[in-house]
Amino acid sequence: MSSLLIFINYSLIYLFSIAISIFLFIVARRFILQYHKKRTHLISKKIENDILKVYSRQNKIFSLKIAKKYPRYSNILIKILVKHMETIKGPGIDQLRLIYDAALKKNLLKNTHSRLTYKRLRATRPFVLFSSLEDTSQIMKLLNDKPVVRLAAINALSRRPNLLVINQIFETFERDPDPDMRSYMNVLFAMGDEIEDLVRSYLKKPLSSNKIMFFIELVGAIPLPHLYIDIIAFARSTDKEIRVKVAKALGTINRPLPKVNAVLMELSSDDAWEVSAQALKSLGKLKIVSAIDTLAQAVYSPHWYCRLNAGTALANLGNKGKQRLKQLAGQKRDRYAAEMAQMILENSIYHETG
Amino acid sequence: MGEIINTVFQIITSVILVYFFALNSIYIILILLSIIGINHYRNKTAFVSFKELFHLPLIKPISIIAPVYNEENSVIESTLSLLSLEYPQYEIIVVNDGSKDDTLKKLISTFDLKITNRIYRKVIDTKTIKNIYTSPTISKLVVIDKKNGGKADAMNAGLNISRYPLFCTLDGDSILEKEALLKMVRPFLEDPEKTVAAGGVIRLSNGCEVKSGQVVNVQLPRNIPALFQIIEYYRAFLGGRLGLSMIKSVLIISGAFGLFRKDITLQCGGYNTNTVGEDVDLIIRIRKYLHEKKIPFSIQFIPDPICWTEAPESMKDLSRQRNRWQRGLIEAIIHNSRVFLNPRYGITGLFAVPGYVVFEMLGPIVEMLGYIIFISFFAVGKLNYAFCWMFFIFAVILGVILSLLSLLLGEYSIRRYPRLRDVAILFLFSILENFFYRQYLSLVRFKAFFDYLLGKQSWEEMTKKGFTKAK
Repeated sequence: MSSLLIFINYSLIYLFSIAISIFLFIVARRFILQYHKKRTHLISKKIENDILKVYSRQNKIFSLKIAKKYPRYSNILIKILVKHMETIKGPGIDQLRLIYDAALKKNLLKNTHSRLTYKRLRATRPFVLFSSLEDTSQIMKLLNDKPVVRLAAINALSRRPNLLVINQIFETFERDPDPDMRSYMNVLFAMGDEIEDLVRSYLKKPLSSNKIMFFIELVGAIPLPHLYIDIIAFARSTDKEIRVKVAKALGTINRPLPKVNAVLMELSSDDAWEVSAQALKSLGKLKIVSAIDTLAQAVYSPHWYCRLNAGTALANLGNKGKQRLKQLAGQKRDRYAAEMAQMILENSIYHETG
Repeated sequence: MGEIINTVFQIITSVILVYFFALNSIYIILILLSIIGINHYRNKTAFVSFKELFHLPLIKPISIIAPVYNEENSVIESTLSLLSLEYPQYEIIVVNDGSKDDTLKKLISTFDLKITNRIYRKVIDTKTIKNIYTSPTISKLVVIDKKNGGKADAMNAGLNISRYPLFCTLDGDSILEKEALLKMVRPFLEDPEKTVAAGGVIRLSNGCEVKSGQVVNVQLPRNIPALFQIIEYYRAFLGGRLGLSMIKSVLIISGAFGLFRKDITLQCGGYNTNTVGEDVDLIIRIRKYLHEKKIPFSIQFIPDPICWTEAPESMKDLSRQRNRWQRGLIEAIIHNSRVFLNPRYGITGLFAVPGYVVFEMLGPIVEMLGYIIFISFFAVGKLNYAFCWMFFIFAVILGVILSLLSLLLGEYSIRRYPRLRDVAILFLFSILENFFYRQYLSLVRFKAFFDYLLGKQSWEEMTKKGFTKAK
């Protein structure tokens, strides 16, 4: 029994010491974190001040001196450089690059090659933001890396488009036998109208249907108003999906263009209901009043989506469209058309009163 | 005869001992995996600003479906919390599942709701929808008033009405952190083809102060059962589910907070209305379906997005809740028994489901068996006191270590309890929970087996106080 008592005593001591150790660990961790936070704040302030001096002096020697000043605080320096790179414009960027090249680039480049995902991930953002032409191949590797790294690279690219890299991405997309459209869309969308000329040239190339659809979608998504004329050419494509993309992209135009109206009217009576539904939606988005009869007729369509889109488009036209919806809601010829018109009228009234 | 009984008892005792060590080893491994997982996640998100996701063109819109039943005390605060979320495009569908109190009236008067003639596709069959309400001022809010059919039926009704490709399940009495959806949607953006569902951390709002639908002050509750549950939630979410997610074996994404792909859910037939464990059942069916179709998939648990929910504060309510959870698990596993140890279903069939069967479903039975054997040995005077004491102390030590490690995990999470006094109180409760609380819950879960066999299907009401407002 005495050995049992010894066992119990030792167990309780063991338990007590484990509990105390974990508790002390938590307390110590909190103090360390607090201290670390304070210190980081202090160093950040110092670095921020130095960066402001760098901007005002515009002196290469001074910038290099700052680059060498914080070798122990590279993580804080990265965060601040990234923040500045994303927000400023003008000659200050060259000074930031000088600091980056002298203090961080070597390590970050090494980290982008690391086998550890988190190292690659953490290096991706600053590496892409400060990238130059020689880094293109490495950026492409990051864009083909694990999803999490890829998303970080896309985010970084979208913050500061690098046209040399973008050109490379277009070429890779052209060569890619099975491209991940979503990734490419996320990258290229973020570049805005800076890629207009590139998209125009690629729309003229003999690409596969998927890739053509991608560029048509891109025109509508950004949007690239000077390229609407270029995509109208695809409205007669034999591929239904391409016609759907054209109808959708044309709906994003934000200035009057008679050719677009005519093409949309034509597509609204397309044999494929998917094309028709999309064209009706676009007519409503563009508020083309001359399409009122076409839209009213489409509320009788046997396809639910066509009825919905036509009705919504009529509501978008304003009073004239709503008057027509009232007539449609009151008619007894087609119950489905009447119900759809009534639902859309109610919804639009609620949202207007709001 | 006596010898035979003795041998049988010896064998059962050995099985229980092996079970005990296996169970605790697995828990410790899961907690260690979780610590790795949390560090991994923190490293991954160190240079990530979630608000940047706003800029991405293909970010998917989300339908938030929140079924409510007699939630008049908390429904307004939780709906306000949903309206204040930071996400580019989402709709909120509150499904009033035939509440008997003033839940619907409160919603109508607060948000100035009007009946609408919304047309929708009834993809899944549900109980009759009486009315659909929308708000003239808040276009993203839709309230469905339907006949009572249970949580699964309410979710299905919400799925029918929803318009977006992803849907988020949420309890009507829950509060989401502002960035929760942005954080949850991340795996769907990183790997849109493979990610089918994601779960987030649920924390208890008891004791916390809530203002304009957001938790503004994290505090400990004064209620004892709620304090025990805080440690349990740390263990379950940060320990268990995150650890299981690391080995691709998550079977539970809580109905209180989860994000799913709508197309896959509909292909699996939506929520099963014949079980009270519709959340477990759905995940098992999704896994089963995707294994059968040989579609690679990923179900992730993210340690960061936080959903606050109110825990039961009386032992009676707590027993009902745990009884229901246990019945739900049993039902879901029995409904999908084909998956059990079936190599066709990969890791789901060979590890995840058997793991849940052995350690979660059968756990209370084995524990009760242990107590029965203890009493039997005691009754016949064959109890080895020294061994019993040693085993008891060992069990308590392991239990306490597990609880303390869970607290450590909580310390690594965001929105931890800020005061050291709170940490000390949680320490005390993490030791105390091993002496009465755990055994009591095992008994409750054991009883759930009999309730299941008797065909109990009810979803008893729970008394809720509602959120504490900030002064």
